[in-house]
Amino acid sequence: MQKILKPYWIILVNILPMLFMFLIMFWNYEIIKSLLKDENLIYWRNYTLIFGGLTLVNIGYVVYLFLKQKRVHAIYGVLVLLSYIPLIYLCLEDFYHLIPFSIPDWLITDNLEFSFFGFFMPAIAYSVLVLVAYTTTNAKENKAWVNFVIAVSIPVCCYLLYMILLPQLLKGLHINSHVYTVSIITFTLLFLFFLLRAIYILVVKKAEVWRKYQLLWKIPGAILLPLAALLLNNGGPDFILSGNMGVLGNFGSIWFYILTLLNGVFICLSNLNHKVYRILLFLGRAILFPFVFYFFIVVLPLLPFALILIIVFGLGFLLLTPIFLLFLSIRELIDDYKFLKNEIPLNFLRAIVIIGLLVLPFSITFQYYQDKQNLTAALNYVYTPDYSSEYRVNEKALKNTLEVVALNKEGRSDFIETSGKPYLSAYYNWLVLDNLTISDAKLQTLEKVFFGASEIRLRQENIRNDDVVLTEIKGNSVYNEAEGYYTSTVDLELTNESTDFWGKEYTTTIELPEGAWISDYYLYVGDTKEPGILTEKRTAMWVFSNIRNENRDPGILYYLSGNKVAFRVFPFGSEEVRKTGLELIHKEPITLTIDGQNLKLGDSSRVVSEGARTLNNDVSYVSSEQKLLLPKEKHNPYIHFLVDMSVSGNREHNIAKIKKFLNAHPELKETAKISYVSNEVTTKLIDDNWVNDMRSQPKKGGYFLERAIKRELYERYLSGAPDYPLFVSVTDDFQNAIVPNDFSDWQFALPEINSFYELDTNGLLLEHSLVASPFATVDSVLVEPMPKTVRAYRFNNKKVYLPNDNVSSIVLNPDSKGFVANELLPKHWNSGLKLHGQWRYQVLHPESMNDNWVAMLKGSFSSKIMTPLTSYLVVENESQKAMLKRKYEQVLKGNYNFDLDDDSQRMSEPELIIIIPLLLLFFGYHYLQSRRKEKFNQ
Amino acid sequence: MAIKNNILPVLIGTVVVIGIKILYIPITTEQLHYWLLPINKLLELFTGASSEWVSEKGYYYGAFDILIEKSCSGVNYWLMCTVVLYFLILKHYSSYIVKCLAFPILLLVSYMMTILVNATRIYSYLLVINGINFPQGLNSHVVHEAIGVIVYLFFLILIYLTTNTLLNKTYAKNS
Repeated sequence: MQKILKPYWIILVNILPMLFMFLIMFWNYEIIKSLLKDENLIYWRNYTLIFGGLTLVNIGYVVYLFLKQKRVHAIYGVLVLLSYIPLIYLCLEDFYHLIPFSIPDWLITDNLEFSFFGFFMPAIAYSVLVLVAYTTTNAKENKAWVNFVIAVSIPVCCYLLYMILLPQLLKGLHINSHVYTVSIITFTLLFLFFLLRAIYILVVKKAEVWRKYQLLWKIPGAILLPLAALLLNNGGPDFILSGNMGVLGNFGSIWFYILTLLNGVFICLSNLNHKVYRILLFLGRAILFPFVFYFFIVVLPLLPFALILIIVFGLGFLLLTPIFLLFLSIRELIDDYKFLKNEIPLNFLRAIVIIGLLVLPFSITFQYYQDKQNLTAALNYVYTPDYSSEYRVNEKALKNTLEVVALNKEGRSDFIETSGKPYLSAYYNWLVLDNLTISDAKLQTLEKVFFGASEIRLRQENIRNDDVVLTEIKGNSVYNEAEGYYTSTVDLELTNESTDFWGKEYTTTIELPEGAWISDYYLYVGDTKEPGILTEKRTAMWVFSNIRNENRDPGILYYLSGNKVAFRVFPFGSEEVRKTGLELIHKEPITLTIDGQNLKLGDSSRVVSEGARTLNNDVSYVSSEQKLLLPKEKHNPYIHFLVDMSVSGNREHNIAKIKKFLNAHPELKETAKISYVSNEVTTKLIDDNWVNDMRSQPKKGGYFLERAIKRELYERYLSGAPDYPLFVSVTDDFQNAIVPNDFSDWQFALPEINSFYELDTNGLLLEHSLVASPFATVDSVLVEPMPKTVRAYRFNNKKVYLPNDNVSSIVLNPDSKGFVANELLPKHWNSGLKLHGQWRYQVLHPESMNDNWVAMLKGSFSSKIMTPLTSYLVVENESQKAMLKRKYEQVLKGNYNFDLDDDSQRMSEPELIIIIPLLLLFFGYHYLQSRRKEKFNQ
Repeated sequence: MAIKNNILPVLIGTVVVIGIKILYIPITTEQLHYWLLPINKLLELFTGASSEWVSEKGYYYGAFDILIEKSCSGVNYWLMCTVVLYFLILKHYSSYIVKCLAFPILLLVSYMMTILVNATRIYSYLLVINGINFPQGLNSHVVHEAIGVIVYLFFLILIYLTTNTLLNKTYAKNS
């Protein structure tokens, strides 16, 4: 027991957990700091100072003990108990100041509150042990049973006191909850104190008896109890294989049971004096040690509740199982180590320990890394695909990964019953998801694409906008003679015609003409004209929906797809009139349509004499006048069947439908193409063998129509081929098709038509729109493929086709290798053109998104022009503005100067967190060397 | 080194170091203009390249596309170097006056060393990054961090060992 008083224990149980806590809190802080208010930051600072101070005091005490070669003093135990317990209590009381309720759950480590609690428990448990050591100096003279009786009587007395006596005595009287809490903590400590004391006396007195009949207590203690504890956690035997919830975490996987059993067996095996046998035993125990240690740190935070659980459920002792198991494992490992030290070289023995201990952590890390690779590949395939290359995604592994991601997302639901795994979920979120999350919509799409169906149901947003109408619209345009573009302001008056008390919302969609961009926004909040803040779109939408739930006063503008912009204002009180407006920059006079009301902007008598304007040979603006001078071309259509080859697709039905259609229109067969669409797309020309070919195609995943259409459009745009495709979807259930909200972003690649078709069982084509609600049928038509006229614009030697109309167009060079929009002047039309070109490049090459999005955001911010990645938002108060500003700064972090190159590197000092441990390592080594030298000289 | 004989100097040292770190937080690059000046001059001397001061951003080297600003000021090295040297003084000297006076002097000495070491760190990075073709995927930030750690540790250990040996010899000679 005297060994427990060595100073290194303080490092192990107090300083290291504290440093670990700092690390975890720091991770969390880094994620949420932009969402914290100033008062929260004060709490963070104060607690950092308090805990930092405590850590320094502990380090100082350990250094003192080492230098003086002294043992840990009993007063240390008392002081730790007296200071840590009130501090933890205080900290838990203040926890919502550190992590306010406004922070979304998924941003924070699973069960952070209790993990945080857990870091102090080793120090508290150790202090109790120190006190046991000091009060039991001569164990043989003490009686174990007396301590046992006291220990057992504490929960019994507590039960009588809290459940029977107090409720009777204090009928109607209210006792402060703090009194309860303090008394429970005191009783728990007394209970642990006597329990540990009793065990210690027993171990010392009956050492020989324990050893002789070890299997009698090892089998229940190391195998039966842990298995029972696991079952209890998972809610009973039914949950073994299917469960995904648990009291302490989701330990329903069969692997937890296998490892528990294996660990029990390894502990129960006799310690025979046979070298090879002991090496294997030692290795097995070392491999499973991290597993035992993991459960130890999982239950540690709950130790104070053990007493309550014993009182309430009578099963709290199961919480003590991992602690018992940990001590048992350490004992056996030390025993093996002592034996093997004399049998094999020390370095070999050390290697076994290190390798053994690393097996499980390494396996888990490797598994998680595989998940990350797979998930990244799947996300890239669906959201940022490279249309010129094929993808390989391990679907079986992806299924597991998506399940784990979904479970981890639910993670921090509650203390009782959580679907995540404590600590491991945090590690998973960090390693696999980079502490971000995947939205339900994305998870749903991934599941649909790769497995054909999804159980995830999305919540529909409830928009209450029936009664708010646009009552007045005014416009004013100013022409910039020097630069040749208009700056127009549009002022709107919105009126709520309802007398309802509940706040109404105004929502509409504005279709911006080509070459017009939004460069400012305002909303009246009370009598104050609040300017819009340009920020990253996802943040803005998150802020908007949060504020909207709180009934504050926001307004938001953001791109939906193509040139469609969503415009929302909230809330409107009974019969309230609100004023809002936006600013546009455009080259030519335009007509803006908002809620059915037309507004002409610009002077139509002014002739735009300028022709096509090309910037950096990447993007061109073709004015309406210039377009009329471009040569006309007639393009012939060809049928492109997109056949459903998903798991639910009916191959024979589809063959029959196509046959019927081709029999009715034999002239179309010659040029027709066919694509087999599952989660992959295989495209071929229709030949005489197409029926057999189709029968040989595998059915898998979902009907990923989006990829089939976009890939064809991508290839056509890059090749400049004159014939245009008539897409014909061939499926039994069109509602199962995976398509985006619309294909407006891709309209530039198919100037001939705005439709695609669905083949019905009668061989008729049902028309669907490519630019609005693709699921809805527009019309039922008999196919009469007609040649269409377009205008051909030449970019070097390549042709790009434009719609044959009298409006301006923006053209991207098909050979563009991507470009950075630089030299962006604020609210300048040229900046808008560059940003638009950059976005169009991204539409064609989504794979470039990850590398370019920050630069694109910066471009939008510096030019004050809204792009599909940004949003104009009006918020009500200063803290909301500060939150947006912080996010803005966060995005721009690393960008010290817009004028400097984006890639310029800061010559920052190396991190202290790396240097200081290495330096301490050197000093430790140096100190040991000099001590050795001194001893040698003596 | 007996802790009980050094409580006050250690306390003063700790308070000063923590105080400097806290005071450093709100300081902007603009306010560090003159602190960065000698480091920048030395770097210009090493590299032969010229830099320009960009207001609120720092010294920009167009030739290498790098920026010297607040995070490169060397304040961490300055404090670490001071602490290491102070530890040696406390170990070797018993006079209370020497111990208390040593700290401000060491801050000054360490600052001189910081200028040299910090400029060396940046120069080493430029030499390495321009002289070696790193495999694709190896982030230049990782290389920069690794070189920073190596240079800092090398000089800190060198200063510690040299000073320790010198002080040991002086101590032996005096006794």
